[in-house]
Amino acid sequence: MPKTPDGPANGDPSKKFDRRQVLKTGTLGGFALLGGGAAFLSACGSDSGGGSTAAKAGTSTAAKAKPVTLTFADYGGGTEEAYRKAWSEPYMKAFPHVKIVHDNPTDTSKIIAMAKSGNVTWSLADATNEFGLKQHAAYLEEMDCTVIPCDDLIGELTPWRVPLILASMNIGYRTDKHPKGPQTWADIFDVKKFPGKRAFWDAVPVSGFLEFALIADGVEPTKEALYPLDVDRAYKKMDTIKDHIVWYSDLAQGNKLLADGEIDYMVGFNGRLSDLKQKGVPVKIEWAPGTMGAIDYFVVPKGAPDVPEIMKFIAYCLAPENCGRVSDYVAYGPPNKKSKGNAKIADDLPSTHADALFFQDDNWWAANAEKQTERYKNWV
Amino acid sequence: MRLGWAGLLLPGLIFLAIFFAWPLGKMVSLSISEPSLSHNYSILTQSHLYVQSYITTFKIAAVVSAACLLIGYPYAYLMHKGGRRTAIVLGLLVMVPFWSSLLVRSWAWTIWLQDTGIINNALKKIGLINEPLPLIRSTFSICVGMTHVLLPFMVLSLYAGMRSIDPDLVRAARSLGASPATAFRKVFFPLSRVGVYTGCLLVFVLSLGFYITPALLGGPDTTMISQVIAEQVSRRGEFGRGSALALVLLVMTMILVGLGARLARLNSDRVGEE
Repeated sequence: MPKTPDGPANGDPSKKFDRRQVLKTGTLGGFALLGGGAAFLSACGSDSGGGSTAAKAGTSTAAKAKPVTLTFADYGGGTEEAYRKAWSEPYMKAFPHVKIVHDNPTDTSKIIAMAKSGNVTWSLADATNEFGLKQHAAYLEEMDCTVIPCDDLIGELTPWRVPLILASMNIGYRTDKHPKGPQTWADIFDVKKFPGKRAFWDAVPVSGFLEFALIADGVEPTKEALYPLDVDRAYKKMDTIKDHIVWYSDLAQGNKLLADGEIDYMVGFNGRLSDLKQKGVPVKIEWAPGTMGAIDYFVVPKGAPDVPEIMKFIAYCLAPENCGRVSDYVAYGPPNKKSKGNAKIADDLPSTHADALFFQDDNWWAANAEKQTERYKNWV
Repeated sequence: MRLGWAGLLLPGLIFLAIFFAWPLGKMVSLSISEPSLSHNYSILTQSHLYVQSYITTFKIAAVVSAACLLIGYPYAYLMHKGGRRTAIVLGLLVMVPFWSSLLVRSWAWTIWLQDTGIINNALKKIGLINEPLPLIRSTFSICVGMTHVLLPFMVLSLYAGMRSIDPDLVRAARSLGASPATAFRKVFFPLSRVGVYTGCLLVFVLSLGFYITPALLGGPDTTMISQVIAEQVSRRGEFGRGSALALVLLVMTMILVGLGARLARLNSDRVGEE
């Protein structure tokens, strides 16, 4: 585990991501994306019983509390639906003085703009692992770990963020074209063994293609071995498949490529691939060693009103009994080690395959993202 | 009385002040102060990517304008010549796609152009090609998609221009012995140039700001400047750099439009002399 910013997570071994423990609890993975999971929602029954204990506990205090409205900025689509049904609706029932509205899409530049102008309209937001680091401290409220169960959470916590859901970047392929497709990252980079087009997401750094190239080239799939990235070596490896790559810049676009058979293999989010499977596309999600875990985080824009109420809501979402409910609606799940996800889709969830996952070094990337984005554009 | 008429301008002026002048001023101030002038504008010299992106953008805008003109001129001419009913039918045909979502139309082009799309599959089936033609994820596909989206602007400008031409002038040319082709070349076409310039200008300027179509139909090496600006602002949180890039685009556009207007004026003066 690398040096994380000087947050409460630092130096406390219990907060570090423990793969075995996550594996044991069988949590579900998640990531907030546009549009995903619609078919999936209807495929899965909803479980609304989870909030009942909280409801009983809440009603006595709720009657006296002053009404507040919290705005939750998410990525819309399937994840909004999931957050709403899993968390917002039961919470509003339990605490009638709180009204939670959803807004989307979430956008870190909007959070920065809000914090700078002082006109903050979001109470809490979904952000990728690029955000919520030390350099963003001026734009974010600190998380209150006396309310939020920070000790039970996976991921790189900082004083300004706590995890929201766990997702992963996987190898996916069309089983109708390749009954036994690429099993490892080396396979994805082997165009002789696996001819045809492969798609990568072009978002530096969150798409992880440099890491995958290094893993394919023989680097151990661990954060310690990968960082600082040997970028020259990664691009040398990328060169070998350059003409066989289709880059997608939009996640829905990536799904369409695979659904249309335009590509044979796709490196994409487990939730998106799972969504294709639900829609009947013959897709296999591979859990190769070195599959990249991707955590989305809760952040609170600086100057948001009613911060104590926001913290209570985040604490509710991350409580062990509530955290796993998201995976009833979308194939992403709980970052709380004590929480269980939806057993029905366990094989599509990163938490089930925690041993295969590695995580990006968010601080290395924070320092190098700009340079590497330009390098990618020059290369491509 | 005159004051009363000027008063009607007031809502428009207030609207422009609030929604155009103020944000523009804000952008100028962001580009020099957030965090600093040199930080924001130096990226233009640090990497050739940005300059390259401007070149790509202007090149695509020029190609799209030319393509719209080539398709739009005969179309508008037919609308103009074909009588009322033809004008209505052709006008509707060009307007219907105009009312549907830009996003949907751009998506729809992928069905035609992709490697497993209608064109490539058909060509493969009749044995003309073995490997799919690289139609999509290229400058070509961006130009096709944008031409489709922007064609109505060109057709309507041209049609409006042609309608304002006095039909007696062409008749006069014919009665003085000009063949139909000569009458078109010497009289009609020069008079329709105003519409040509307005249409080209409109399509060119609108092309510069395209974002969705290049994102869906283009490849990673065909980035237009709006995509670069969006990335600076929404992915990197670099409001200053985004503003700087947008202002450079604005200034370049103004220079080009100014030159274009001057050229148009020179040309129309010459038409008058002929």
